[in-house]
Amino acid sequence: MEKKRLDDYEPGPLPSPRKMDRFGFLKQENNNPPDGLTKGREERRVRKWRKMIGAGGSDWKHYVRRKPHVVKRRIRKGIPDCLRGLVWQLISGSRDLLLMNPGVYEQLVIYETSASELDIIRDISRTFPSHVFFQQRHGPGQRSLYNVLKAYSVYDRDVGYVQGMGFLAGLLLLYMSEEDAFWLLVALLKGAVHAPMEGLYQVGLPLVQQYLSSFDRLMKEQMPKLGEHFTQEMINPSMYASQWFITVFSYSFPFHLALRIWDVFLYEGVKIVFKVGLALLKYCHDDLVKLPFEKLIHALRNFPEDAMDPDTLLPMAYVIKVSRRLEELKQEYNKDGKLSLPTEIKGTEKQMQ
Amino acid sequence: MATTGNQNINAKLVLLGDVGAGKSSLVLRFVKGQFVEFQESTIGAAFFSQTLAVNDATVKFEIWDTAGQERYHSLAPMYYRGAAAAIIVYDISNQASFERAKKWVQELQAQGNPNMVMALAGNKADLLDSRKVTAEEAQVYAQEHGLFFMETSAKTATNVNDIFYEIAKRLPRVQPAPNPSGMVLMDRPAERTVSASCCS
Repeated sequence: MEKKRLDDYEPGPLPSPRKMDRFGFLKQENNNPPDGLTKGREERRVRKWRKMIGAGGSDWKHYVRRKPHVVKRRIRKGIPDCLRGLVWQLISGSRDLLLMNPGVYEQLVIYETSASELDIIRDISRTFPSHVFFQQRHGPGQRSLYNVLKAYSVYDRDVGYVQGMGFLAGLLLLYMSEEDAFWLLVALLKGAVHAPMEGLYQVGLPLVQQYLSSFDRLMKEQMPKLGEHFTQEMINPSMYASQWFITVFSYSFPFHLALRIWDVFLYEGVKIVFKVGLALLKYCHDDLVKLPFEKLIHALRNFPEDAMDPDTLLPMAYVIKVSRRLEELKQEYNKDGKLSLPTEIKGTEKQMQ
Repeated sequence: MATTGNQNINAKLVLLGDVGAGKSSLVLRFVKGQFVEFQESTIGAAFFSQTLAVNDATVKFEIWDTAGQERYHSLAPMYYRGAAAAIIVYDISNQASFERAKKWVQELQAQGNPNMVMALAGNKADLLDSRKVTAEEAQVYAQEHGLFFMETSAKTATNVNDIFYEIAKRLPRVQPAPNPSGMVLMDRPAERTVSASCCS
C-alpha cells in the first residue's frame, strides 16, 4: 500500500514550474536566487569536485588529508548542488556511521515505538509547509520526515523529539535518503566530527542558553554601539537568534542561503552560525542602531534581500574571527555564568547591570 | 485612579498553550486577518503588534507568540514576565491541551504579574464534531481561577477580535509608577505613552 501511494504520487503532474523556485519551494515573492555561475563554469566546478571525491566518495578522505585547505576553500564557495547530499554525508562523518550500523535504522523505524509519535505527527504538516515535497498529506516527504524523527526519538530517548529538529531533518531529506538523513542527524547531535549538538534539544535547552550568552557577548564586543542600543531597547538575543541555533538557519531563512551555510557548518562546525549571525548584524548595523524596539524586532526577523545573498554575506562571515573567544566564553559560562543567573532571563539581567 | 479622556496604552501580551493549539493562528487572524491550515511551527518566539480602539482608550498590543512544546518551557518566563495580559490557548478537540492550559494558569498565577489580565481561549471552536472539552467545563474552571473565557476559532475568525477587545477593556487604566527594574521586556525607556504593563 505504501508502494502504491508512492507510485500514485511520483508520476503525477507537478505543479507548474513557474510557481516554484529551483529548490521546490512554492514562490511567494520573487526571490529567485541568483545563480552566480555560468553554465560552463558550473560544469568545470562539478568536474573538479567529482575528481576530489572519487567514485562514491572513495578518494575523499585521502584528498582531505592531503589538501585540507583546498577542501575548506572549495566548500566555502559552495558545494555543487548535484553533489551536495553525498558531500554532506562525507564531511559530517555520517557515511561512516551508516556503514558501521547496518540494519539499525530499519529496526528503529519498524519495530520500536516512541513516546513522541503523536508530537511528531502534529508537527509533520507544519514543517516546510511551502515545499512541494512536504506539502502532500501522507505523501513521501511527510512519511520520510516522520520516520527519521521517530527513529531519532527512539535512538535517543532522552532527547526524544523537539520542535525544530524537523527543519533539520527536512533540509537533509531534500538531499538524501531517509536512512542517510537519520545518520547525519545522529552525527550532528552526537558529535561525530564536531562538538555534539544534542544540548540544543535536551531539557532546559542548555546549549541554546550557552550559545545565546556567548553570542550576546561577542556581539557587544564586536559592535559596541549596536550592543549599547540593544541594551537600551531591551533586545535580547533569545528574541531573534534562538532559532538560528536551534535550526542552524533552516527555519525562516532563504533556502539558497541556508544550504550554503550548511555546507560550511558541516565541515567547520557551529562557529559558522555565530559568524553568519554577526555578519548579518554588521551588514545591517547602520540601520539597526537607529530603530526603536518594535522595528528592531521586525528587522531582526526580516533581513533585507541583499543581506541574504550568500556571496555577500558569507565572505563577511568568513573574516569574522570567533574560535578563540568562543572557547573562552564557554569556559567562563561553564564556570560561573549559569550558576549565578536564572537561566530564563540571563541575557537581560546582564544587560541591566 | 481612573483617568479621564482618551489614553494610549501599550500592553504586552503573551500567548501560551500546548503544541498545535492555535496560538500563532490566533495572532495571525487578529493581526493580519489571515488563516492557513498548516501554520509553520513556532521555534523560539515571534513578535507581533496590533492596535485596538476601545471606548476610552487606544490599546496597542505588543504580542509575544511562544513555542508550545514543553521542552521550550525554559524560554517562556522571559516572555510572560512583565506582561500585562496573557491568552492561554487550548484546542477544544484535545483534552490534553486543556490540562496543559491549566498548568500555564497555575504557573502564571504563581510567577507572573499579579495584575495580569488572563484570558482562556478554547480554540478550534469550529471543530464541533470532535469536541472533547465542553464549554461549561472550561467556563467553570475559568471562573474559579479568575480568568475570562471564550471559545474562539482562528479559522472562521469567531471571537478572535472579541477576545483581544475584551482584554483591552479590562486593562488597568491607571498611570503606573515608574517601572521598577526586574521587568524583562517592557522596561525600556519610556517612549511615548502610558504603559499598562505592570505594577509590582
